[in-house]
Amino acid sequence: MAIIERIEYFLPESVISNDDLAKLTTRFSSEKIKAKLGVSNRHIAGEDETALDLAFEAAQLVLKDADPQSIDFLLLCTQSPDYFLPTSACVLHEKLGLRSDAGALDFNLGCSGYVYGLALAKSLIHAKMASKVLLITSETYSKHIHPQDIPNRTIFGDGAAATLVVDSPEPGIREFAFGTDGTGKNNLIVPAGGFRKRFDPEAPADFDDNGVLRSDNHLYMNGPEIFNFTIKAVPIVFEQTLTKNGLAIEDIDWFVFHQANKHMLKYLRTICNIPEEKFIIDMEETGNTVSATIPIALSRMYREGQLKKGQRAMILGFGVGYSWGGGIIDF
Amino acid sequence: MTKQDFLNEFTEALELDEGDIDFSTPLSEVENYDSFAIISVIALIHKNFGVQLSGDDLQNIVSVNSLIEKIGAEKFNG
Repeated sequence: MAIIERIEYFLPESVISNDDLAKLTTRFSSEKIKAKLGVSNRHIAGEDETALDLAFEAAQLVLKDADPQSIDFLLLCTQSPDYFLPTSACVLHEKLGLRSDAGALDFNLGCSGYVYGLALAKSLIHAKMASKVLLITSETYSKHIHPQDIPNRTIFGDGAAATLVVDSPEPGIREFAFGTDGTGKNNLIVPAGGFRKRFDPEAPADFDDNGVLRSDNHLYMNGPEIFNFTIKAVPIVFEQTLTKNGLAIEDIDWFVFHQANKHMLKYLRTICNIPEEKFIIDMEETGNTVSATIPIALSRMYREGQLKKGQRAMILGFGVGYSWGGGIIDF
Repeated sequence: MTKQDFLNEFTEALELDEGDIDFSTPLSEVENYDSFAIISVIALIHKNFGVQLSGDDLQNIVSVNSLIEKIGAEKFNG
């Protein structure tokens, strides 16, 4: 069986505050950003600092008391890879000095990535293909966002989290529920840069339907439609996750959903009937770090003595794809 | 929910004071009717009527009166 042994995270040094962003627009004040999104600051990767670099730093932290040679498999979730090829995980494998008989692969998911990553790590361990898996979720959406797209710059921050998943006689990572709906692909997308639509340095920047300046080389998010997707998908996967684990809300100590934004989280909590004191909203200093929000929140809870050994958490990720999933973790 | 209650909650969702807008105020002229507000209005309508309106629907809505028509006037208690 598989348990989470340790989670660490790394944030880039540079911080952008609400005041910094409010100066660039007449649309929102610093206070409004905090009230609606629950974000005061977000860390932003430097020009030459990539998701792979953040992943390396987070991995170093989680491996502080562990031998890198003990890792059997490296899983790296990112949508900001260094290259089309080679795979970032292969580059990271070398930088971390992992064994040559250790596997390494990237998987491309956004806000659901951590849930999928834990499910993959657990599967590798249950199938006896690994006994120690290093799972990293690392993201730098700031590099996808147009510099003048202030709404998205208020929401997203960069960051990486590293999780050690190990074989154990005790069950830790329990059952999962998943979901996918590709019809939502156009509502959260970087349209150009792949092979469907090539990167065009001359792509014109224009105001989109949300009044946001961007070109096809940049991130587009249809906030209202993402909200509509979320309030439809999350209550269903929430119930499925409980049912698959044979659990009820009162059996769970903490509900750690993807930290999308405060307003959305508060509404999801209401429609899922989750007690407020069990529901985590912790993104004030980080923003929405995509696939890293859940492990960052878990790591901070553990560090602050909020999450204790013997406790049980539901994690639930949802977003770009659309892709979503939920799972139960015993710590 | 009465139409008046709905107007009050709609006004609150836009972070405006009571009386700042009425049933026929053109929403295109209301500065606070932005993407933040539209998401709050989606939640307001979903919570009270179990209906999900699209962002496009809400972007193109003319006034609170036309929004009430869209939701279905028969769903209001007066």
